[in-house]
Amino acid sequence: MSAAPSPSSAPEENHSGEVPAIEVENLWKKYGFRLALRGVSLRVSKGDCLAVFGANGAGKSTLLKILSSRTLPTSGKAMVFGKDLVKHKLEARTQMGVVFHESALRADLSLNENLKFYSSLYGLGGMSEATRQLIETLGLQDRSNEPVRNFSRGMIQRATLIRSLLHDPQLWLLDEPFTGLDPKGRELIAQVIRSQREQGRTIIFITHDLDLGLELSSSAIALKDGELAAQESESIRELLLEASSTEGGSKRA
Amino acid sequence: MNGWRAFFSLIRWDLAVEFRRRETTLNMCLFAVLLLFIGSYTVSQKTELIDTFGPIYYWIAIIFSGTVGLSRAFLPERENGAMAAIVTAPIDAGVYYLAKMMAVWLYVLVMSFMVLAAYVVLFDFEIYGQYSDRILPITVVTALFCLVYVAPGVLLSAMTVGLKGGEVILRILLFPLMIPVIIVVLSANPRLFTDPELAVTYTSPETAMATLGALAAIYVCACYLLFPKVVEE
Repeated sequence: MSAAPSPSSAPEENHSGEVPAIEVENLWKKYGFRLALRGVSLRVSKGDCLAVFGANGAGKSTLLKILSSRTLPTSGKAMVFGKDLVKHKLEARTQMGVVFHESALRADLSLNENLKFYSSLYGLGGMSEATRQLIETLGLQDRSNEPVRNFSRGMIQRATLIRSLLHDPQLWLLDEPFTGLDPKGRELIAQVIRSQREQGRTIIFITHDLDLGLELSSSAIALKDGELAAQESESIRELLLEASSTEGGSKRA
Repeated sequence: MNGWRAFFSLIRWDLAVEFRRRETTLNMCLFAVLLLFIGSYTVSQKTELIDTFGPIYYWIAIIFSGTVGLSRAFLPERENGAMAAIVTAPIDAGVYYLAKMMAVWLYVLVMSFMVLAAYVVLFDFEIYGQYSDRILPITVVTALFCLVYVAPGVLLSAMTVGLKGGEVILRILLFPLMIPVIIVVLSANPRLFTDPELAVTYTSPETAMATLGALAAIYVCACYLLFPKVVEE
């Protein structure tokens, strides 16, 4: 992966001539009068694992929403495996799995029913063997026929990962997957990310946990006020410390 | 091909959720029957008013109870943010709209047939006597009326589901769109509910059906095209 530090830098083909997993060029997003993203450019190669850091309101989730084709950019270009997210979003969507802030599981349905429902949206006949295996690995096989409403936070997060991977996407996007989990739950999710990375899946995840994020990823970036602000671990650490002290200071004030 | 599979799957699981919750349909039916009961009580002392006001109460019950269903149309998806996952699945957002519209139409139809049954009982509508030939045209007009009602209603429900006071905003936006539909059914009431041979100044059931069919086609097409703009941020 190579994150372009300069908003104006144009994307280049990588050395092997391979189409990058993600190619974002001069991306801007405006909500009303507020600029959520200001000219972000970045490239992520296939098989890379990118951690995205930044303070609250830095534009991380907006970037992920655009990459998942949930939100249209105000201007700029975003491509997933060479497919433009505005013009060819349906094709691009078949290749990506997304974990949003919320689980996106229908509370009245069981995990198995949720997976059947989402499988049908992806044109799949049913659950694959890999999905069944993942259910077992994550220890949900005994509860998979219970309504999701009865699940604990940790179980919901595990079920969410399964939902996002059921169509075997090449790109996996995760928005704060560790939020609200106990250490055991975080480690379990981290293990899934490691194993998916080993399988060659391209992963982009947002997190506030610097150490865990840097450990899991092959590269990292930090956003500040909608701009790409850092991509070296030390400068990211400094940026996050600065952001947390500012937030703490404003809270005390 | 995937569009059809997704369409039927969306309807199937929507109905499954509703079957388990039983909230929307039950709420609509109870509200509708209550409205009709109040209506029947107000005209019970003056039987000569029944033919005029009975059908009006019938449509009022369907319209007001229908908003209960429409305002809840996207609540199951809103819970846990399932809507985001659905609209980022590789299906056309229009397919999602059509499936949701069909599901809500089914709930509203169930409620409408409950209203018709209650109307028969509360307003002494003699379906085995003088009005035996009225049931079929009433049923068809009601089904078409519900379709015209639900088509923009589902779109507006998606727009207002996350808003504070969304249910009120839904009604404010929806009712003006219903004015032509209400005019059609009210002008057809005398020949639809009482006597098909009445003066031609009243709209015939056939004309009402054709007009409602045309309105349904216009609303469904317009909302199908607008829905992606509503659900995509």
